[in-house]
Amino acid sequence: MNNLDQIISHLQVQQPVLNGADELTDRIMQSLPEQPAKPKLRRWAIAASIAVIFCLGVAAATIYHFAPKEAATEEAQGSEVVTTEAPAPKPEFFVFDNVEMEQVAATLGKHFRLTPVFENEAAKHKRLYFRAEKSRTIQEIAELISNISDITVTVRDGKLIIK
Amino acid sequence: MDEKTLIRRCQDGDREAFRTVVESHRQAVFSLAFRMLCDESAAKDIVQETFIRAWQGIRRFDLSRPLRTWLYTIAVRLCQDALEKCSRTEPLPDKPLQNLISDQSPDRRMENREMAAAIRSLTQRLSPKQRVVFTLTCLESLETKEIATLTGLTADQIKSNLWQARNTIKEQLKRLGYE
Repeated sequence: MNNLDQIISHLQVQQPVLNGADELTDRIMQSLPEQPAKPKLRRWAIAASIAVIFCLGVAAATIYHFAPKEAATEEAQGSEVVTTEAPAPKPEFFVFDNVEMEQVAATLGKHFRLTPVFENEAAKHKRLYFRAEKSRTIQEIAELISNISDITVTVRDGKLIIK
Repeated sequence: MDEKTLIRRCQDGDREAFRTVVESHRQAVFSLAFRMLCDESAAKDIVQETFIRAWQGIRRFDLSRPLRTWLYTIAVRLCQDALEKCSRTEPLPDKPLQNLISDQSPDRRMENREMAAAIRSLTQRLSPKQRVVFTLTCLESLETKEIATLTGLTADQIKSNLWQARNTIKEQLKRLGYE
């Protein structure tokens, strides 16, 4: 064994003496600060709450999405159960009240993504009165216009052609 | 009362339980700090600061870890800071290691002052990191894995620092006339 190892082995077995250990302990205990307040909710609890809320949200959305829309049941006061018709979605209409054909063509073109093309300049200024559901096809609306006026409307190559 | 129960009580703010923790571990923490700093008063300050920090952080303490390792981690970091700040070189007594080499009875009790002088004469030329590694490995007899936990150094860094520390100490022994 060399000198270094001999010195180390001596020092390993020697423990320094902690003089005044109890006084040091008292000093430590007296200088302990207040512990920081315990968090009311631990992180995992917050995470679990968020997960539960998320799952409830998904469940509610799923139920709403797949539930029959024709009828809905709701519980009235007491034990009586009342079945009511779910309100039908309101139909949306094109309403043209004394509107020039140029404006009618622009509105229909925008809705059906067609470019209005007037082959008859005079048709631009003809005024129309009619109402049509937006759910109808452009062909149906074109036929309607043809029936109520002397204007002919056709669809070709992405264009709304008005004669 | 087992250690986990004791810690749980400390986590609930029980100061008397914490006093028991201090009484159980104060000697070990002091020994570690004393061997690192070679100064009794500074080592006591480290003990005090270690337990104050432990008290402040005990609610975050992971019960699956050994308490001693956690306390050592705090103490080692405080010692490292103290070593970085303190660069004083007090004069050493004549032949501080002579008794350790010639002494045939290793059971002879050394006084703190004598021990501090011996360790200081060995480690005074070491960098703070080398000093920490040397103390934990050679004097505290800790395993590399535990030292890595305490210091944040990798096993290779520990080996490298220890090798450099031993070489520096051997040169120091030659300089002091012991080799």
